[in-house]
Amino acid sequence: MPARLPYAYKYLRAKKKFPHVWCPGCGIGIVMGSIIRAIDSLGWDLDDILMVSGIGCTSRMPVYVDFNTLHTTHGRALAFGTGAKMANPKLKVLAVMGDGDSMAIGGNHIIHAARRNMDITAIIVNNNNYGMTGGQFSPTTPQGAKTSTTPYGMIEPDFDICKLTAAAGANFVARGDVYHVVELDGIIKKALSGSGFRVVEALAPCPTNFGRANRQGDAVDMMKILKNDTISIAQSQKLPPEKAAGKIVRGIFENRDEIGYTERYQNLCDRVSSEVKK
Amino acid sequence: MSGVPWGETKLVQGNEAVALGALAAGIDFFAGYPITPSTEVAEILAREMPIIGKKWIQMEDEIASISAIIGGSLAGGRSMTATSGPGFSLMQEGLGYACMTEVPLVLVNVMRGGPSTGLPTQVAQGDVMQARWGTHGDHPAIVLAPSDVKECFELTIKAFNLAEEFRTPVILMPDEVIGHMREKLTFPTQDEVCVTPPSAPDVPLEWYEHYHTSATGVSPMAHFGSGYRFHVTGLTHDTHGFPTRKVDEVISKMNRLKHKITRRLDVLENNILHDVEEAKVVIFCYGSVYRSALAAQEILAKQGKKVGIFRPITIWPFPDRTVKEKLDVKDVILVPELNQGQIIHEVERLTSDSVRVVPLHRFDGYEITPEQLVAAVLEVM
Amino acid sequence: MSEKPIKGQTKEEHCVTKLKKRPAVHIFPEWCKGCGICVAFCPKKVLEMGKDQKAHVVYPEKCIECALCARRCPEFAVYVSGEDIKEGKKKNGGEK
Repeated sequence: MPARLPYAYKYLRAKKKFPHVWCPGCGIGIVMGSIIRAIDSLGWDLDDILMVSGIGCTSRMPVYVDFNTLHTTHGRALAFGTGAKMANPKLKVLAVMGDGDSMAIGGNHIIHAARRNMDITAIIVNNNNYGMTGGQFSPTTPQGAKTSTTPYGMIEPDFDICKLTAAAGANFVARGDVYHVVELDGIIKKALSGSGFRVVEALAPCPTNFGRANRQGDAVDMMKILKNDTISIAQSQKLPPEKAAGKIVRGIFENRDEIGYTERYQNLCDRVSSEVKK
Repeated sequence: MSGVPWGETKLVQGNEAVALGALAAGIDFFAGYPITPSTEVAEILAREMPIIGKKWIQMEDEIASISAIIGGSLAGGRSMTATSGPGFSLMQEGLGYACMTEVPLVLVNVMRGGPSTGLPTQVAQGDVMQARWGTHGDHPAIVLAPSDVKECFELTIKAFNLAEEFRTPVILMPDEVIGHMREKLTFPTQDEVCVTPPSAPDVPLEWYEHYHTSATGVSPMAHFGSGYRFHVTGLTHDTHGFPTRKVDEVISKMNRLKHKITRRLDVLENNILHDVEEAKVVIFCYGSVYRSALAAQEILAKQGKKVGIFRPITIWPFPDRTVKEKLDVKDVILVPELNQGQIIHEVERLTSDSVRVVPLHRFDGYEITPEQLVAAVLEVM
Repeated sequence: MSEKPIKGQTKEEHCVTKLKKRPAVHIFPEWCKGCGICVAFCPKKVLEMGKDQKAHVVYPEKCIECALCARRCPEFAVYVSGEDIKEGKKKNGGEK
């Protein structure tokens, strides 16, 4: 996928909103670029795409892209997206959420969207904290990590987004990060072209809050952390256990082809309307 | 039974009439969650909608339900949900979002004993103020209160039409008695029912403003996937829908939300008055209590006593002008409610001290009886 | 060594080949917020931070057009011009 800019301008609402609101070195912009490249290589029509988000740093993404865009209430992107997809199946629904937006307040909606295998791609930018409100901990904050609401270190265990959504029934579950951006482009492209519920967790640095609170250095240092602390699935199987310990695994964990909810509901309509005609 | 029994006469439950009214209004999408006493609406639509290829879904909770129908409405589907007190409370944030983003939808709230779990299977009218001010911030509100099964059918259609016309959520609030009672209902023929077509812009793509400032304060709304690409956010926004904090844009948005209602109160106001002109004592009531008031009026008439009835069908926006004009000259206004006094405050606000406003509260889960009303009227006469 | 392509991602999509015409890296100073990511991870050290805390193209001739700077820029402030790259096997670069 070429990173030929200014291809991006076909997708950006460039005149209005740039430079965008995210902090220097924040990974959300990189994920947005990855999404745009994936959509560009799939050749999607802008009118068919609905990008929906909840509340938080990541949720400010839709305003920057020239799709049908919907910035909803905290945690409810997938519920809004479900309604839009049901009412207008032609729409390609893409929900972008942060780790808090999807896993905390949105937790109930994401497990049900996965259980239903709703035809939505959920892209979760995981920077391990609530950035927008000044760096509080989220359900994915690692134990021991400092945030503005865990001044003595996070005591709670955290979610594994991929394991949780895979167990709930999502067709496609993968994890990438913004350092390994070519890989992320491929993962997002694969997710977008699938059917049913697809989840992509994209690890991203939050230099302003999480990085500063945990002395992780600047944006470059945090990218190095992503480079060194993550391994691919293949590496995780090959490396000896002590080497793989503590590393976060990237790659595609789930790639099923179960029927999506839209098709499942359409089959119901076809069945019952034919029965009534009999 | 399949589809709306046009032109037929049937024994119909209130909730069933709501469901059939939605089908008559051309509902495209229903998202709800089971809750007594409104579940029948969802059950009937679950049976009817797939047959005609319309979309029905039971979401994981009421928050998801209101969110789904907002998404559905923006994507081009006429959308409705149905709930009761506890669910209505959960839907408040979504309701406020729909008000701010001016998304048409119908929310049916069948009122039951509250607060909290309260009296799930019993009647109350305790959500009246919540329907007006439940969600945070200044926002428009259109709330209709049916008093019989026929109105459940007609007001559901009207709710869809008003939602489309005013581009705002419309709340239909039957109380539990109305929702669960059965009555004979003669359905109109299909051509007798007028359904407001969904609005659509007629400007070139580049000129489209999602919140175009127009005289009525409401502008035609495009839908997702229709070729008009626009942004919708709960943040205060400009005419294009993009977030703004500019003072003039914030003020114009807030005033747009307000004036689109206050400018067209005549369209929204809908009252039923019986003998209000001549009577000295008037019963001000709504919903199921109106039925007891009619009976009480008959009993009193036999005793040669005259009492008027003022019944607002549209509770919000409250009919200020008519109440002031018609009732501020009366001796006594009796305000019977199935709560500890909510709409009475509006009546008191609009009447001078010379008028005695007498409450009659019943909040034990049972209906105010005609006899109670007769006794109350005789006492003040 | 460059990253192996991910299942489902064709080899062409993953790699880029050297372009015959001289590629040019462009940086928008108005959008650059000086995070330094492009400078730090450019495999050929083509870019450097200026005194104005913005990234600058210092050695354009060394650019191998891997476009990692453009892909990793959170601000869309960097892009690599020249016609579309013919996609094929890449000698080196990519995310080591």
